[in-house]
Amino acid sequence: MADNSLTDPKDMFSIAYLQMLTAHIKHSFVDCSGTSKDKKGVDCEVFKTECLEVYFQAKCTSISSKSMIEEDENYIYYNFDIKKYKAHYKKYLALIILPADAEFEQWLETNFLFEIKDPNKSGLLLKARAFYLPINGSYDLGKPPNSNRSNNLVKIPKTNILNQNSLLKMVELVENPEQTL
Amino acid sequence: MMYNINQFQFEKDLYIAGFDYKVSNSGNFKIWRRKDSNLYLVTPQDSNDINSFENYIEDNICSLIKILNVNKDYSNDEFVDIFINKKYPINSRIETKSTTVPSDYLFTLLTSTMKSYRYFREYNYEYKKMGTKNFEVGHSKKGSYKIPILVSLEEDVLSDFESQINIMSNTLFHQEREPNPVLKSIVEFSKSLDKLNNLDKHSESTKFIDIVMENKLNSHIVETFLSVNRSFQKVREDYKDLIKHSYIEFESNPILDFDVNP
Repeated sequence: MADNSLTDPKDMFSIAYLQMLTAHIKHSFVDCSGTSKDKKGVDCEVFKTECLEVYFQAKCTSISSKSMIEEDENYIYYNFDIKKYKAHYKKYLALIILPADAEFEQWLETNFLFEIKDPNKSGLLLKARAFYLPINGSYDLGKPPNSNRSNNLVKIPKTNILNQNSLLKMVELVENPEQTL
Repeated sequence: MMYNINQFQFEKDLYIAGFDYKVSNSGNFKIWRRKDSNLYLVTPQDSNDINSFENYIEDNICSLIKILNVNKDYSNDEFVDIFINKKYPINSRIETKSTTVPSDYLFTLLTSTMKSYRYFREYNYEYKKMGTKNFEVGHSKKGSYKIPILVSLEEDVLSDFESQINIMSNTLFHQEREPNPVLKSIVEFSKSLDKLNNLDKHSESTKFIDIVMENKLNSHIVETFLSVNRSFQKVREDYKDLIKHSYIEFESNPILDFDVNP
């Protein structure tokens, strides 16, 4: 039996973030944690039509994890051994970046109607940034200027924002492989 | 799961099953589609790019099962073993009054099914008798006694069939083609099994001859399964308190049988 339970809060945040986006575009979501797909580097799937899924390898880090992440004005540099993952046009790295570990209590804020009288101030706020990178063989490896690091850093453009619009675009691309491939 | 599938053979199967392809914008991939579905399959344009073909095979199998409308009971592994490897399942379904099936009953049902197909083919189509090595027993399905016998076609039958497809492909794509006699024998056998299942529901011995005549049932199948002194009828009588009902059903191979009207 597959064990698809998650215990690391960061893992849970990354899956929850993708699941929330999927709910908002009214598509289907499958958490692959602990399944045979997980072993092939797929943490979850998003799809409108079965067999036309977008696959995600979901990662989450805090900005204080200096060994994992650096950034400059235009790029995120993330420590990710992308060569371990087979190139596939349906597969993406989803990277969720949270505030510093010391600010864990502030990562997520909930203010609901029963606590606050003003409805405009009611809501849920995840203090995260999210980016994506296609794992299709055409990614950039690189490191920030003036860095001495020798790790496997992938270079993610800050324009690759992972939100509802970009997620919809990924599903559309999988449905139209003539353009994608 | 690693699938032992050759790209050239796989593409030939897609072609046989009514798929056509377009090359992607990059020129690196073939996108295979069939008119009746918005799903597709992907193979690399360069057939030496083995890694790329392997990357897509699992997605391809998933899409193929959907497009061919294959019974949902089959896993990807079983689909590859049965349909890509060109076999025909003849399923024995047994409804019991208890939680087990007597081995004697099951064994007799399976051997009667194999024997009847071998006779049927030999006498109706004058083909050499099929060897017992062409029969395998598949996994029973969870939740019911459904035991598939898998019939593999012989190498020479498959190569005859494929050469016919090759001749067709040099002329008109997806033109209606002549049914292969062996494929025809399998389909005719399945029709006889259907009639047999109907007969089974009305098995009062007084009406037996009338029903056989009326349904034009094949004498070899009737003899194997239903003659009073023959083995299957005997075990059915012996175990009537344990077995509620049993019947045999046939499944076509959606790749080999596409567009073939015997």
